[in-house]
Amino acid sequence: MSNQKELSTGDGRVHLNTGLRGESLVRQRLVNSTDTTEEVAMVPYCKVIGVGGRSIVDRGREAVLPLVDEIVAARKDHDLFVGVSGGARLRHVFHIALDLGIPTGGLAQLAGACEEQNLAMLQVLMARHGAVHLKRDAFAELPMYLANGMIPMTISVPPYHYWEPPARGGRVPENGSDLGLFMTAEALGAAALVFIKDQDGLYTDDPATNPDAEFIDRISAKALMERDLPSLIIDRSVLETLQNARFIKQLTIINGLKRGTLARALAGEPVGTTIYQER
Amino acid sequence: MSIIKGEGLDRTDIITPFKDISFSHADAEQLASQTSVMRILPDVNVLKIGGQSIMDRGRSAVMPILDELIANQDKHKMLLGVGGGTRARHAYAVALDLGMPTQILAKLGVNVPVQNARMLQMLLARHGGILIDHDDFAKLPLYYRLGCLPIMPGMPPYEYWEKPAAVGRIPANRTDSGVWLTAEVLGAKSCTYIKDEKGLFTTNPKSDPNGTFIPKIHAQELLDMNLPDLVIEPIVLENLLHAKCSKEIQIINGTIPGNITRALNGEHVGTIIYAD
Repeated sequence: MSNQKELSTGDGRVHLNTGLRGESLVRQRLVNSTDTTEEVAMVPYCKVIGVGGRSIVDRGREAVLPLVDEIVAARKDHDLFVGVSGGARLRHVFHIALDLGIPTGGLAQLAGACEEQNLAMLQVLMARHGAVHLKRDAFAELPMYLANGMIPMTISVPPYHYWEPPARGGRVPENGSDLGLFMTAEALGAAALVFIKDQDGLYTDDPATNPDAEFIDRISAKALMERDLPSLIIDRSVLETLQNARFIKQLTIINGLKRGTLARALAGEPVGTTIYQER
Repeated sequence: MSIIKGEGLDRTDIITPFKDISFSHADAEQLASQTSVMRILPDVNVLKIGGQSIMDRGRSAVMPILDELIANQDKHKMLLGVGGGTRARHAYAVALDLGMPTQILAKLGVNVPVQNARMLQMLLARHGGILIDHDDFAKLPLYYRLGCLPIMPGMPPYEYWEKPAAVGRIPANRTDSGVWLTAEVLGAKSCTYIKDEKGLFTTNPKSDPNGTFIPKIHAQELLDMNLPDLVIEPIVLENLLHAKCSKEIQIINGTIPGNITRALNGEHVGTIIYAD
């Protein structure tokens, strides 16, 4: 291509001649034209699992050590990427920050620290089995760790930091650990996404406080949002994003306190609750 | 508040009003509404310098704008955000052709505003222009105390975490969004978009000059108009509706001398989009 073809001027701006030359990227027709079913998945063989902070790590060795063994065992059959979330300390710092009047973006900036602590501990527990801390967006290094049979680990919360959009109600960030891990799996084009918590899955209400809560083994994100349940085991922002996802068309929530559920979930067996995309 | 040491499978917990509620629960929102939000840097004016509209015009547009910003430096604290422009569009075009998903486009979108911010920093260095990145926000008070003019790339740090849109692959959060979110979290005094058109029209004035100028409009009203094109990323309008601090933005034509000064002084010179 000659320079003449690559660059154009004439309206006072220097343009690069592409399909998007001089375009407003807002124009709806242009946005629609970028749709495709041929999007490239980065590591489509990788399975993403999330270890709950409050549900697992805060429970200490009796919950964590058996689960660590299961993750290490599962690594033999699956390429895994492990996310970790915050727990009680996260709730505590949010409470203090809200009381101090800190804005949503400021709260989001605080979330990662609690996860970093939990990740540091889990990484130490699994280091001898090849667990490594993958720094935030170093996804380009993942193929190396996976090809060498290692267990890359990351914090879950998305790095929106100060740029966390204002919440639709209140000031607690809507994009928490669940959403962050979901987007991690989506960005990787992962084969599966499993959230490891301390309940068998999704109930119509919190089973810890309401004994009449009914278990739901399979439901679409759309139907779940329409039910508007009083308590949800997963953030609503995940359900909304699942509806638009290109790669992660379903996710599974399992009870990490029950032995064997992780292996079954990774093998694709029906265990826990599966939430799927319905457009 | 106290720590409860968990025995066996029990959690080690901290007693707070959040202890037994989930963050998606209405209680958490109710709790949040009990205190009012504080403003981190309430006297800072956030200004965005357009990529395609200003930077891609080169010195004829950029130099007079920088002169005007420098002339206002003693009177107004400013934080400059910078857009991408045609090179960002080129990268998006190649990436779209290669089948890249939204998250990769969002990552590619970061580099071009960084180039533009670096050029502005070099031009403004003798006047205190410094390049800041996402981790430098906690140092802003020092920079202002020293009389600096901080310049940041406008793209928010979402990258791999940019959510997919229902249709298409252009990232919803680009530099307009990043700059507004900056103003919102800082509780800034103003948020101004310096572009090359008077403001908002009912059509894109670059391709259809028959549109009507809109001097002032509510964000919801503008969203309801469902215009085929917009001078600003639509997500900014959606976020404005939930703003706690930055409830008004102004889009101005920076190529007309005096507009930036007047906007900094709180005058209405372009299009104001607001939310209650």
